[in-house]
Amino acid sequence: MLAAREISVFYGDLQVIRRLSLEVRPGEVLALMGPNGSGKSTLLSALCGVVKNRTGEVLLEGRPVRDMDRRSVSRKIAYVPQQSAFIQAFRVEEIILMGRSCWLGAFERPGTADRRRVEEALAALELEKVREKAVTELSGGEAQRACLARAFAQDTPFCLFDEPTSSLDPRHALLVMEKLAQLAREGKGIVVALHDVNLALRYASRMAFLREGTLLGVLPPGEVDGRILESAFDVRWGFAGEALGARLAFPV
Amino acid sequence: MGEWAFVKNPRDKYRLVLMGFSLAVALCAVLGFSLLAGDVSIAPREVLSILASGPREEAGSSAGLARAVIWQVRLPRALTALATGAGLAGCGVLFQALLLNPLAEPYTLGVASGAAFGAAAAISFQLPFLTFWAFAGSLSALGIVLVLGGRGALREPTRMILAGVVVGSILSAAIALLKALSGQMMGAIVLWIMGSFAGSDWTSAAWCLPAALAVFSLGFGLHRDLDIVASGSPAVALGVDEPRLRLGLLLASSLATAVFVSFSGVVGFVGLVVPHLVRISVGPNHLRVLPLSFLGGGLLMLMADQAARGLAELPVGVITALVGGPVFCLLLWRRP
Repeated sequence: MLAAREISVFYGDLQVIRRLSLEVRPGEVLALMGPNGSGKSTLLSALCGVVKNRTGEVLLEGRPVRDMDRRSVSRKIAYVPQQSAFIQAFRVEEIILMGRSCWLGAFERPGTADRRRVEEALAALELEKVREKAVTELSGGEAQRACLARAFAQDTPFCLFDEPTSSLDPRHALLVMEKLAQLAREGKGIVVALHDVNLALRYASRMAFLREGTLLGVLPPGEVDGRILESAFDVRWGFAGEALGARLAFPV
Repeated sequence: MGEWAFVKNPRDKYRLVLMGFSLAVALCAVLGFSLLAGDVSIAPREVLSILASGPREEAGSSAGLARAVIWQVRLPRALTALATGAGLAGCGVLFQALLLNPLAEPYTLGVASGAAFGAAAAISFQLPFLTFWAFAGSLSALGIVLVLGGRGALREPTRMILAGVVVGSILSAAIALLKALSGQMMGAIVLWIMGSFAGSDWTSAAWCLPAALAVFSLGFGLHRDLDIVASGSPAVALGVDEPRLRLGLLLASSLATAVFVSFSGVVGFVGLVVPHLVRISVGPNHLRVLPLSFLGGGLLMLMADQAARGLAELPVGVITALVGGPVFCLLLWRRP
């Protein structure tokens, strides 16, 4: 279990997360929904200890994340931030193998299991053709998939993704969401910040709505109605029929 | 290919081996030549026998002169140049990786300006222990940069670079002022700043060699963390304590750089250009880049010092800048 207990996060004097409590359970896709600046990215960063919470506690399997060393945390939680800015020209497969680094000693060479994880991640995100390409030469969507593949190769019980489909075409966006759902079915706890309400309605186990750093509510997709969507996004929503078992929502 | 990539491309592997072997052979050749060449002519066989028999004194004889030239002049000078070149190139690799900036070099955090200011002040005021003042100047500059950068600088490298640039600018102005006020000493200040290995002895070699080895060992031991940071990946999320890594390695390599510049002056371009040349040849993996940069930096500095010796002790910084500058321009021009 990964849980935030009444955490508050500040950037200087600016409070971004306000006494927020949230639990991530193994085997679920928890979608974080909310407008720009609502604190989704900060919450994800706080859940994996990249950003420190000033008050409250983030607990990973009962232990405070702030008391754990970085290597131990990265063996439990994978995190892919919204922006990927590659600097030096490492190859795609090298970047993905970096996801295994927390499992390796300083001079330990990657073993068969590490290589298998990387091959699986390359295949899962259709990156085989660009595996030897420099990451600095990738398109935005390919770079985003390389970052996601690195997290997949990290093979952690919890995975946090910040808008993982923002640079992807519709086919790859669906591919990624299917993969996240599959990881959840395998028992991992997935948290994903999303702007696409329909992707969340279709793939999430639960949807958490944020506004100005406060949690408005956590609901299963079937119970999400226009009222909570309007509270979160400040715009009215309508629903139209169903597609592939999920309702379609649209802002009015 | 490095350890990250497991699909071995034979062409890459051969290129890596060939490059390492060529650099090592060239380094040995230039090191040998630096022991042979000079005003006192010593045959290769005699050099080998002098090296084999150790630095025992044989005063008065011609063999004693040759022994003194090899053991007291040429060998410590060559080793100091080798260690300085290798160390500066290694520090350049670390700075470029940790500051996420291809233009970073060992002097980015004001260490060189500090050393130059300390040395210029010592020369102007005719203080003894020039090396000590240069070292004190470089450490003071580094301290000011770290304080200016603040704790946030460890997460935000741009802030640290800006602090280094500002401190460097202020110190450059102070050095210019010292030059203007020092009258006859101005030439000595300029010559010191441009760098030279003419005054190298076993003391300088005994400081520079361990400093270079320490930088290499630290960087090599943390090569995987360096890869992660340099790639632009979210290092903290991948298990790297990025602020601690940045502070530890920048501090260590700045201290090593302070040792180099205190003994030999501000020799430019080696720490900037060599890492780029190596990365262009073998990619950015630090398991490969660090050793090859060490070999390349040492080789370049030894060659530059040989040229300096052949050109009536022209400051070695002039040679590295005259060679390194155009090479860097070529790199920029060829870059897609």
